[in-house]
Amino acid sequence: MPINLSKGQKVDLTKGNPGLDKILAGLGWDTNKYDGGHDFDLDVSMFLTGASGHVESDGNFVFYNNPQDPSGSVVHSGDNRTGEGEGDDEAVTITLSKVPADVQKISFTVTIHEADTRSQNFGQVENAYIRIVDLATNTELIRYDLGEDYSIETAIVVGELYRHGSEWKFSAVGAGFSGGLEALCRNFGLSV
Amino acid sequence: MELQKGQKIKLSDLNDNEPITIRATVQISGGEADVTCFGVDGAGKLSDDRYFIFYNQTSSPEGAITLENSGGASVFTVDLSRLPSTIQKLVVTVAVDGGTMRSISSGSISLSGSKGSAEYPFSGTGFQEEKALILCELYCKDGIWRYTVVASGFNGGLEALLAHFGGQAASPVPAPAPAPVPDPTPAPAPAPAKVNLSKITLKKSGETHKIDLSKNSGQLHANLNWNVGKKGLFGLGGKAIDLDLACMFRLKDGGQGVIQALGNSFGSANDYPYILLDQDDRSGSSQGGENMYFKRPELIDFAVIFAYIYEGVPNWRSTDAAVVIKQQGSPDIEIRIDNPDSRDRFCVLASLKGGPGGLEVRREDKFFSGHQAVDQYYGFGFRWKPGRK
Repeated sequence: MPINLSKGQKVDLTKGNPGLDKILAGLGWDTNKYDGGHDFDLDVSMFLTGASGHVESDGNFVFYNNPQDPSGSVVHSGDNRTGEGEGDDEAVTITLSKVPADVQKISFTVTIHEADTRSQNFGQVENAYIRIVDLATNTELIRYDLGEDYSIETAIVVGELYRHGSEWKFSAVGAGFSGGLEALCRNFGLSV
Repeated sequence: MELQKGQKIKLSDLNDNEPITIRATVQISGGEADVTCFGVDGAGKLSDDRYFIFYNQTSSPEGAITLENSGGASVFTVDLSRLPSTIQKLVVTVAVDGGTMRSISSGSISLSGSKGSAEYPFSGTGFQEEKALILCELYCKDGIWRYTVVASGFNGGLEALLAHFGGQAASPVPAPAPAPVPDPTPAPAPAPAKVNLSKITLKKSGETHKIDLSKNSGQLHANLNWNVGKKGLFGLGGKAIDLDLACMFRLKDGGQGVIQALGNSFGSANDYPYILLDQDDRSGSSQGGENMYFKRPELIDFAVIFAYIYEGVPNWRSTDAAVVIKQQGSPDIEIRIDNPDSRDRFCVLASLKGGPGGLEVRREDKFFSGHQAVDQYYGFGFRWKPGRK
């Protein structure tokens, strides 16, 4: 049974799961209820930040145009343009042992592509979640369902993996922003 | 406050356990917009047709959701405290007949509660080819009611909308046209739909009105009208319902009979018994309904005017049937079915009783299983054999 987190909750990841190394972060959502209007294109991006809270090189911003960081520790599975199908809409593989020492935190975000021109926001997205799976045993360790708290936001920091001493922990952040991916990039110290 | 598309708010921000109103206006050039409300279950499906609130079914069974049209707006009043727990979401939708949502000149959807209101104004510029829209949703998740402006829709119109709610969209809708054209006159009112201020409505069973034949010589015209179109169109009532108008009569000379489509007993205008049934429209698509003319009403000793459902499951509730008895120079007399839950096929709406110098029209509103039961009750004494029309 995975641990179901609620917003703001933090849990140990490696402490209770010794030997945990290769994990999958799966993110999913439902949008395609209506056949009129524009399609939704949601993107998952990862910000690998240092002690300053900023992304220290552009390569540490993992997104659809940069599917993995220079160390290869964070690998994006690729962009699903429609969000169709069962299961995770997008997935990221993280090898904890390969994460460079200066990376303190990996933030998982979901943004809506061209949200403004398409008049879209997270109020129109349902059943969004993130889950963390141990790829060695294929067991789901953590799940966080984002719930009904989002409406006019176009970007969400869903959760964070972060170092705590020699361990990794996970935080269910669930923070919504307007301004989409650009606003998030600026928030993490990138110039766009 | 003004909401954006997609915005969600907790209902408790606007309301303290009072009934709320949701008001929608949609002005569309070159088309007609119908605003409806679907009360759906936790899976988002319309599991109970009685929670499809539209102008032919303006209230849910317990009255928790009602619809009124006032000043060009569709106003739903919702009392969540009376809503059964099986209903987890109310979805207000609009469908257009002719054109697309792009042709909306102006529209708005607003929710008003005891503590405030939330509006969302819109126009056609926000849409493309949608023919049906979900305007807003009031939904319960994790025990909390929230309100959200959806303003998104379906190019496929009603059928896509129905499919969305798990309705039987595709199958019962006849093939030729993607969607049958609904009645251009939305009101199920009898033929002379113009406002007739002198109309008399017989509301209670047994209520009577006397037509003074000495003053108003001339024929008596009984018109039966009912609603077929939209119910069938939405696919929720199954097939279109066909009602047949008929009468049993006894003239003052003792002659008696049945005027009905069954057995082609249409009667005659110029010959005995001077009662004529003018058409049997089995499709039920005739705008005017069915008409019966009593050319020489002064000859009538006693007659009953009845409607029957020849085929299909009797579902009077969705017919909204009414008979209007007209005579030139007199106010129209309207008799509407008030007890539509009956499963019997025959409904005697009115009786006519001849008296000195006048004819008494009485509201009957009684249901019977068939011809013989009607005969027996009113004591005509016919001999019956089965027939087909």
